[in-house]
Parts: sequence; C-alpha cells; structure tokens
Amino acid sequence: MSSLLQNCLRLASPPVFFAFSGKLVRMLTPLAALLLLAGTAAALFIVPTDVQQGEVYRVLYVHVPAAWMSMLIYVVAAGYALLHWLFRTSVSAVMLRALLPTGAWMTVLALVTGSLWGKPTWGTYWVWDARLTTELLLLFIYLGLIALASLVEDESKTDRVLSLFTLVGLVNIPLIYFSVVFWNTLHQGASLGAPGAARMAGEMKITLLLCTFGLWIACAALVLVRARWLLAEREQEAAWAKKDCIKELA
Amino acid sequence: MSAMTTVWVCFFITLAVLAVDAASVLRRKRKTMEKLRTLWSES
Repeated sequence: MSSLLQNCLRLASPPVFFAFSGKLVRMLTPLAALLLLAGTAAALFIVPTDVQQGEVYRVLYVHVPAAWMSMLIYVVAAGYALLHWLFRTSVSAVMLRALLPTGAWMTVLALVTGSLWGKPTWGTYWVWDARLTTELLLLFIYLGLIALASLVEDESKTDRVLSLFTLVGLVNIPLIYFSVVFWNTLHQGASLGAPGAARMAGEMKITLLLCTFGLWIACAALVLVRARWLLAEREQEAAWAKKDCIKELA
Repeated sequence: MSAMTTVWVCFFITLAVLAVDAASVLRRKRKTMEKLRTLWSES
C-alpha cells in the first residue's frame, strides 16, 4: 500500500510524469481504438432494437458515455485543482489545464446527441429541464475556466485562481447527477446502478460499458498528450526537459 | 430524419468531436516541439 502511495507521489515529479505518461499513451491509444470500434459495431449492428423506442435508442451508446465523461472529467479536474491548491506542483496545474478542453467537448457531445435524441422521443430538441439546464451550465463553467486559463500571462497566479474556480464549479456536478431525483424532469432517471434505474439486457449493458470504457480511455490518452506538452513547455528551462524531450524532438 | 439516420449522425458527431480534440492536442504538441527546438538550438 505504501509503495503504491509512493509511486503515486513520484508522479508529481515532472520528469517521472513525462516518461510515465508517454508509455501510458502508447498503451492507451490502441486500446481505446479497439474498444470504440467494438462498441460502435455492437451498438449499430449487434444489440437488438428497443421495444419502446425502436432504433433511435441506439443514441444511448454515445450520449450516456459522453454525459458521464463530462462529469467525470470535471471531478478529476477538481481533484487536480485541490492538489494544486495544496501542493502547487506543475503536474497538477498542467493536468487541470489539459482536462478542461476535453471535458468541454464531452459536454458539447452530450448536449448535441441528447438534443438529437430528444426530438423523436420527446418531440423537441430542447426543454429547460433541470438535467439539460445543469448540463448546459457545466459547458459554460468549462468555457469560463478555459477562457480564464488563457487570459492571464502569469501562469502561476492563474493556476491558483483556476484551481479555486474549478473547486467552486464542482457544486454543479451533484446537481446534474441528482437533478432527475430532486426535480420532476422530462429526462429519464439513472441508466445504470442507481436504485430504480432502468433494467437493461445483458448485451445492451456490455455494449454500453464497451463504449464508455472506449471513450474514457480515448479521453485519458488525449488529456495525457496535452498535459505532457504543456508540462514540457512550462519546464523548458529544466535540465530533465531538454534531456527527455530531445529524444521526441528528433 | 429517420431513427437510424439520427443514430448515424450521433455516431459521426462523436467521431468528429474526438477528431477535433485530437487535432487540437497534436497542434499543441507540434507548436511546443517547434518552440523547444528553436529555444534549444539557440542555447
């Protein structure tokens, strides 16, 4: 247990993080491609048609993973924000910055696919429903944080402010997740896990998990590549950066 | 729009979103590499 903790702590060191994330990205990229391909093939061609919604329910296999990812990425970003607030490490700052664009894209994806799914099932692309409105608010929070990250020249000062605002924005995540419980909404309840969640057939559940893990791993790979090069740029004066990056510059 | 068209559109949008994000990541990588190459070739 202590060695696991020590290994995690070692990842706060920029050269260790740069080397480890490089190896991780090389493993994650083909795995993400494989899972997404298998998930997409299963979602489009293998899983049976839903008895109530017909074919259109297949949007679930992109909408639900994207919506989960939009929230998960924010929670992870808030974790790095807390780490940065407490320890002020470069790695936590670049991870926070690297997570935001991917999180924003996942939120856009959840909103757009949800909207396209809403038209045939609810009869409208958009309603000011609690779930939809809080998810839209999440997009605005992401966009605000991305703007904040790029506005100020002094990175160390911006990192502190960015951490603080990211932590404040975290309050929206339970509001999104529990919006279908707290309020009467048009949006359906939890898809998996929660008490009273819709029961899914085994092959549908497996396909949903394939798509979710595929998207999760793809997002992780994208975030790690972005973080590595943000870190290299930030640490350009450090001896390790020249030594480790020079191999990849060749 | 038919049900299957909606489904295909959603899958293509997902692919497009991942491609756009990947392109922005690769652009960031290329810009940083150029910057570092210039900086270190000068020093």
